[in-house]
Amino acid sequence: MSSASQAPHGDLGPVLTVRDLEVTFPTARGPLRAVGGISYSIDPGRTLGVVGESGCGKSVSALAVLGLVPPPGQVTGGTIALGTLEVTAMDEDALPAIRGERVSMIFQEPMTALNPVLSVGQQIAEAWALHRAGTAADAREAALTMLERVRIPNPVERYANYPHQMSGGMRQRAMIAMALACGPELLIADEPTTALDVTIQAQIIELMMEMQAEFGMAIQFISHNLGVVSEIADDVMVMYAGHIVEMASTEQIFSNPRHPYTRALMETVPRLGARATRLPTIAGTVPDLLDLPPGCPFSDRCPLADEGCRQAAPPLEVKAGGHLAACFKAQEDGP
Amino acid sequence: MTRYVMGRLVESVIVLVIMSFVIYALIGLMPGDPIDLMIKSDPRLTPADAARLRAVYGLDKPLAERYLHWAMAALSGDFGHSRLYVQPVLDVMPGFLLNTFNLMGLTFVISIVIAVPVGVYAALRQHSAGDYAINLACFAGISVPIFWLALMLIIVFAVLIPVLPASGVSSVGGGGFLDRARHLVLPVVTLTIFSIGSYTRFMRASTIEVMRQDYIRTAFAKGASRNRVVVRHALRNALLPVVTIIALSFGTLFSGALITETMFAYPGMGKLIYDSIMGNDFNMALVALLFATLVTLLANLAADIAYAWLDPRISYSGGGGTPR
Amino acid sequence: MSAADSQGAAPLLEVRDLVKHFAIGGQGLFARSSGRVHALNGVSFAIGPGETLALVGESGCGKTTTARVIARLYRPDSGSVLFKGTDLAMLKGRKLKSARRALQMVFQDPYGSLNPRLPVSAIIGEPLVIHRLGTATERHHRVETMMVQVGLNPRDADHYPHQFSGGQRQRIAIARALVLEPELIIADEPLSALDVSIQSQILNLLKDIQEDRGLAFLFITHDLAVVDYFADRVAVMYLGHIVEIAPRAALFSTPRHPYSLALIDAIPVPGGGKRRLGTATAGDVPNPASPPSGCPFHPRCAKATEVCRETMPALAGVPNQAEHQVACHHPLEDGALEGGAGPATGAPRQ
Repeated sequence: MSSASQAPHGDLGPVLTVRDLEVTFPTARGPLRAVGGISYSIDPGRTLGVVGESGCGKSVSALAVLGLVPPPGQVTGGTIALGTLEVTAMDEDALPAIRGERVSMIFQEPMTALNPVLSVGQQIAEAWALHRAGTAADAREAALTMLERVRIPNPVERYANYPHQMSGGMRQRAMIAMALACGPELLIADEPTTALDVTIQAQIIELMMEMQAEFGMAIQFISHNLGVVSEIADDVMVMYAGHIVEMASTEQIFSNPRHPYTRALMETVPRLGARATRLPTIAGTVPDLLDLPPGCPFSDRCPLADEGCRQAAPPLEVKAGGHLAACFKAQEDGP
Repeated sequence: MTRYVMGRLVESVIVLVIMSFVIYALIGLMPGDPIDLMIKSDPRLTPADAARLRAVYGLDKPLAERYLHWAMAALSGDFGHSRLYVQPVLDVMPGFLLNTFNLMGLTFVISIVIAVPVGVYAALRQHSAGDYAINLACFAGISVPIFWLALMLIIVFAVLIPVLPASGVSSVGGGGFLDRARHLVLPVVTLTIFSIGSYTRFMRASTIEVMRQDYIRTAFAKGASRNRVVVRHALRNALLPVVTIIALSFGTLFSGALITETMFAYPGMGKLIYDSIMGNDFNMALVALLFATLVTLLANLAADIAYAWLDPRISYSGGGGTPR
Repeated sequence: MSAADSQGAAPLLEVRDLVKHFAIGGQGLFARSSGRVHALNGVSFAIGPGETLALVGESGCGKTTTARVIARLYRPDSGSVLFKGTDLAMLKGRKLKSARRALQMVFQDPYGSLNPRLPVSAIIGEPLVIHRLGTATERHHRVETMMVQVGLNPRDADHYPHQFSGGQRQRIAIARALVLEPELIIADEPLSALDVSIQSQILNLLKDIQEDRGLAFLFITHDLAVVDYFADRVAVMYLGHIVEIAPRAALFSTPRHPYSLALIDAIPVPGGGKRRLGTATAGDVPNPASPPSGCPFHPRCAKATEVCRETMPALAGVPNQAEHQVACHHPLEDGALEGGAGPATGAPRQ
């Protein structure tokens, strides 16, 4: 693995810049805006946690970065840039060159995300060979090296294993090996630990942190689990109904959540040691994306909402240093 | 795996033995026997003669005894005489077998060579004009009655534009390779139209299913081109169920296609089975049907082995796949 | 031996030395069965009336198999399941049916556990029909009452499952379990398939039921935070054994088994800061088809010694705390939790 894979982009600005991204799916009932105009960026070597429940648009926006939004969905607005390269302006044919090379993605279910009829080693070798010149033997070497780096014991034996012969945690390590084979600047992880046992989840989180220290890539870590995000992320972005509702550093968000949805999420999750008599709940259900209220998307479930909230969509703006929220009711602090 | 194959072979033998009795009994239960036909064609035979003839051929004995008699002879390689063809059964069959093999073999190969790429193409361009056209053609091929298709082809290519022979396996007076080939064209076309339609639909459905899988998305995410994803990742997975279907229809390879053979007067196994049953040629019918059973059993086994070979998740030794 | 004993009341459910092994068969005439999955290896515990016992563990630990054996969906290879004093494994026919009235189950998958072809009223009312309780009008009334109690609109009684959300379906499943007024409910991961914000609603519902009706629960989950919220006692399972069983507060303040500590350590705490490297327990959850010798946790345990490799430790009481039992040759001391000493670091021991 070349040390050129360490992110050398120290002063070159963010690894990923997303501006006003919109992703729409045509449906029988009209266009569904899965992502309704979001903007964020990730700096080199940092980890951004993306939190939200199902349907909030966190996975779709990540797929858009790789140009993998499943049809008939499409990016209908905004830009995505990797460094200075504008992904949204690229030709379909040019995208494979950046996938796996500049940005990689790992998914939730390692069992189904790996091809069942190819050996694990072959799949990792392919990830390397797609972007690097070399013989089959070079690819195999590279794959074996990656297996070692993700701490899989007996890499030679494991190279020949098929996915069904490995445990869930081992498969996820193999996926990480595959994703990092060419040293991308950005790794997007979509719920990578959700399907794993809790002790294995802890291992994988640690592995990802170690890999970040070794490879220097930025990580976008998507999860519905606040605790997991809190353990790995430097900054956190909370999404709801296709919008970003709050964005801040991890400490800021957990010590002082400003958006009512963020607060509600934190309070409704039972946590160890905080045995309450009754868990707070969020009234109502996750909204139908085809039927959003005209103003703030959370307004029909928010305890603080008033008429103003229902009519106008609050912009995502700075409430305190580095802490943004999209809420008319969120307090602003002095610097 | 060897244990598994041995076990299946033993099972197959058992099934064959049981089937031989079942077929024997079914044939024996049919109204009429060879002596009846002899009586019809020769009015001078008296009932006494009939009774004597029956005794000679052993047709007056009970079914089970007749079966055992037959089984004993069969075990020593004597499958009896064909009444219709006036030769030992085992001398008659090879000719018909070869004809059927040519016909079905060609059909088989051509169908697969066309169906697999066309099916994949249709799957990748789902809902496009090309896909609809292909689907329409497949449904047409599957729905058209074979006898009508055969007749149409004969009318067009053997009567209206007489370029191909309408029937038979070769021209009168024997034929060379080219002659036999020309005789095969229309029957093969008739049969492939049906098979291509069927296999293409399977391949298309299987490919669509595979392209929806997560590992295809992973392959794209690694930076593989669309071609590579289809050929290296999707194809092998998509072929798995299709291989099973193909291997199973392989079993028909030797039982022939009755309607087509009749329409084209093509002397294959299908026609042989039909003629011998209708002509009360018990020995011939029995052996031909048993042969068809044997081929089906072997085809099933081949399908299972092929599947296990192609899909590493399948293991018949019962334990190689558990994760550690 | 159990909290129920100390209260002087007979336990409602008592499970003794349950063993269940599943054969992994080969195929065909001549193939041998090539091994067994050791799902349960001698599981024992008791639940008193109105008490909630949580059964926790990761995949392959046997918690779901335990639930199924208790509900008589499987027969145990050996051991007994005593419900109100009668061994369920011995019951047949009408006696089994009437025992089942008092013991109901709620499953994990709100999408798979409801018959998609039956309207909700039929789903909730079916147990009444099976046990021939009440007239049609009475049943109808009871179904409506149940729906209101679980937070559903009785006017939706004629709708089909697919017309409800996941959380609502789980409410239907709970209503179905409650309609016979059972004494014990087995809940097998009832929250895992639900969205985060819905989980709290269902959890509240279960807690209300627990308090209002004085029901006993056997609550199976992998989520320790939920356990802290809901259970009276906790049993930790690993590879078909109970490795620790204790009152809730005791388990979370002074876990004695290294695996319990590992589970607690692994739980991410929102706002708890970045994960400290090197604290995750190494190694994989082992394969129940080929369990390790001796104590099943020894390959991953930093404190394992020779005796751990050879002999399975028995469940024994912790000194001065009769209700807290642990199966370990080297149980942890007080203060193991604060010390932050993970049970295993470094390379996995496989």
